[in-house]
Amino acid sequence: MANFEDTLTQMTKPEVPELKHKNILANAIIRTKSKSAVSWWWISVPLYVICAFVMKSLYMPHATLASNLKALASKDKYAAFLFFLTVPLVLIVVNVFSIKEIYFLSGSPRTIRFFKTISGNVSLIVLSVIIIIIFLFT
Amino acid sequence: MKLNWFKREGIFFIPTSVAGWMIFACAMVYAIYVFMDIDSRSHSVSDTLMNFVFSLLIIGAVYSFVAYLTSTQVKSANNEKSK
Repeated sequence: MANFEDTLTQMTKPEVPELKHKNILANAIIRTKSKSAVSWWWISVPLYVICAFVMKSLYMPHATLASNLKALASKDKYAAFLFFLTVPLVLIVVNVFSIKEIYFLSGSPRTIRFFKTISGNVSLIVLSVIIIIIFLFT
Repeated sequence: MKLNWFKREGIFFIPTSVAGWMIFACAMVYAIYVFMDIDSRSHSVSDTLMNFVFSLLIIGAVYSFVAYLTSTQVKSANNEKSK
């Protein structure tokens, strides 16, 4: 107890050894990393199909990315809508909310460290948007 | 319900319990079965690999989603604030 009183008398300003807010932010970042790990797996499926179609259009004379995607959409309508529209849309929503949570918890920062933390999520959002654009406008 | 069947290492979920290892084993067995099935119908090595990678990515996506739901989840910010 004496030790505690000594500490108090030596203290010149209020000291908080560990802020709870710090833990909340750390947990939010861990959750975001886990979500982005799952997101990478789900986005790899349409990306792989697009890469395969691009390679096919390069090596086969009359095949184009658009024609291949149209053929896929007409052959397997539900799978095409699931992987090229639903999954990217869900990933955009999930990652936007994750970024928003970290942004507000870390006090609306504009630092390189913050952008480095959310770079994976931003990449996922960009790739999802590209997949949707390719699917809808080709 | 708090489950602790997997832990995340990068983009991979490593099993940490018997249930987790069973899910992992099921995914592996199914991936081998899919490979053998595709290989029996394909005409070349590249044909096998192209079709198998697509199936493997779907298996990986489903596995990672299951692992995400059953891995240790830190409490949400709202729950922390309410304490």
